[in-house]
Amino acid sequence: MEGKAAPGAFGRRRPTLTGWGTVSQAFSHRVLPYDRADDLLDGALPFLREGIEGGDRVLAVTTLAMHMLLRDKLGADAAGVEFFDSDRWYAHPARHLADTLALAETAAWQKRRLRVLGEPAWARRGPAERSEWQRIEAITNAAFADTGAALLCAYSRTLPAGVVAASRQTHPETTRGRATLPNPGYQDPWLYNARLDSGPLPPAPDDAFDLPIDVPDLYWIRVYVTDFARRTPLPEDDLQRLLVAVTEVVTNALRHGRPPIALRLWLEPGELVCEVTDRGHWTERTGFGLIPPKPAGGAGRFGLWAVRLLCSLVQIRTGRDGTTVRLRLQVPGVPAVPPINLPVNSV
Amino acid sequence: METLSSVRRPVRELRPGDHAWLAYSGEDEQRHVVGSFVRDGLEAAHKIIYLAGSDDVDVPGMHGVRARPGLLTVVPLADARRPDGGFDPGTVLAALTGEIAGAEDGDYTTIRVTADMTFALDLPGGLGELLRCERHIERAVCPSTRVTAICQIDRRRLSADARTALAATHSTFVTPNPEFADSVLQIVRTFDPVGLSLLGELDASRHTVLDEALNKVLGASRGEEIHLDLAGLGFIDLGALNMLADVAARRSGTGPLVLDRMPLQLRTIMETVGWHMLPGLRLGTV
Repeated sequence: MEGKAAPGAFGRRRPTLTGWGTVSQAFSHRVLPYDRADDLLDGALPFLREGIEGGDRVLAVTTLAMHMLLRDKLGADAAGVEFFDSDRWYAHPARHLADTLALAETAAWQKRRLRVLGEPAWARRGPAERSEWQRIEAITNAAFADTGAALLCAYSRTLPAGVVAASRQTHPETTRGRATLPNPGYQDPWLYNARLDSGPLPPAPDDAFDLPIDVPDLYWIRVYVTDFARRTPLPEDDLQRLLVAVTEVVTNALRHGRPPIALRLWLEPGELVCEVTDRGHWTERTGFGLIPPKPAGGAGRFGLWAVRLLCSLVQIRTGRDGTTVRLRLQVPGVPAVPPINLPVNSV
Repeated sequence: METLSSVRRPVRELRPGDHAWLAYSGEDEQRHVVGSFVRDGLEAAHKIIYLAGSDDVDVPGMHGVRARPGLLTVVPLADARRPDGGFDPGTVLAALTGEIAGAEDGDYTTIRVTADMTFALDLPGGLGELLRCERHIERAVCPSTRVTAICQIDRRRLSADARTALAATHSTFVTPNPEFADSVLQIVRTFDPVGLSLLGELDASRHTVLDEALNKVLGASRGEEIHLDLAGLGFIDLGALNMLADVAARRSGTGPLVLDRMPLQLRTIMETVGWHMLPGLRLGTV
């Protein structure tokens, strides 16, 4: 899939189209680890007040309880802060990145700075989802670099083991009270990203529905995927998103990959998984649709970026043995028994 | 424009016995549809009988076609008037019957008849006589195994009632030939508004035909809004969306690209991907 991007694709393009505003302050992305609410307030209040006084667009994305504490401490200044709920703000990794980046760029265009106190919602996330959010934390350093945004991420020390430790690898600096300290363990975002993908994906189950793609009328691929998905509780909206995503990934494999190309579908607890494999090898390590494309266009995998918006999670592995793109969509209440067997036809 | 009993049929699929009508929105649509009818007929060596308001008509579909002499007969209807100036359907029917009879004596497998009847509306009592005339033609053409007819009329000149009444006198409603059609996708030109109607599913297997059809419409447009009727579109891929966005960007400064009647499932995709924020692309009628 190396080389030119498929003409397919683009992401949530941003409202400003020519040139970017500049802000005097440099981009910052800091972690604020805390044990008690007071620790959080000690770091967050100076951060928020600095933004209010400086005319920034200031957002506080935390729990309801923390909103109340912050409002109480900020007093009249709270009017200068927009409050959002973490669960909704951090609902989907790629969409979150797109929307926050759009806010940052819009603010920069208005010669303002976006300043966000965020408390990512880590509870209830499984390992794959957790590592996807960690990937977003890392990629944030690359995606927001030119926006001048100030991002402060609060991490409770009660979070599952490794989450706070990983945050020191994805944030260049730590905030402690009014002090800012560099994180010695901070890693280059792309290296961090590559490391997340260094291990192989678990193999597809033996009973996955397997569709070798020989004759590429993409229409038949959608018929097949629809037949499978309609026997699961996947909501109709998500089926439509899946069909667009699968079509894009197969189109890319047909254009840039190497045969044989295969499509596999199976169910896992809470998820429908759709995998496209081919024998090609993506040489270019950067990108992978992780950063929203600039409105001006240019080279880049716009399609893959849109695919990330459409699916719950996208996993990519590429190497000498070939390339695997795995699309995951959350399915409410997947039955313990998979749907009855479909005839496996080659299209 | 249509009645429940009428059949919609692309012009190339009209067959003997079809008495079709074309309520055109303007000259572009008229020439597009009638041009196909005349050109296909000439190429297949069918007899063409073209009834026109006057004999200096510029018959559509003749450009670049080398027709066998005698295939086309133009019948001017300027004389189809009663002494009081009113429209005289008798003259039309007599002229038509005469031409058809003459053609039937020839070795034509099919006789294509078309008439622009708009002029009759200007004459006193024109609509009533026109309806009478249409009923005669319907009775003459429908049982025929050789005659195919298209009655043209300028839609802008018709009241809603007149349109309903005229539609009721025709069994078939003729539409433009699709720009492209296969088992998955159909692309049809639209004229009011100017644009394309897309039916079926659109993906990289058919990007080229979308591109060609878009370029044709853009080439023929005069800077007005271009509308895409998506009501029949079940799927569109990211590549096709990107093509539309590119077209919209190229047209910035002229009319926007308007997406009409977008199905809900496509709207879900747009909203997820966020493309509605692109300038030049606009959601039109729901």
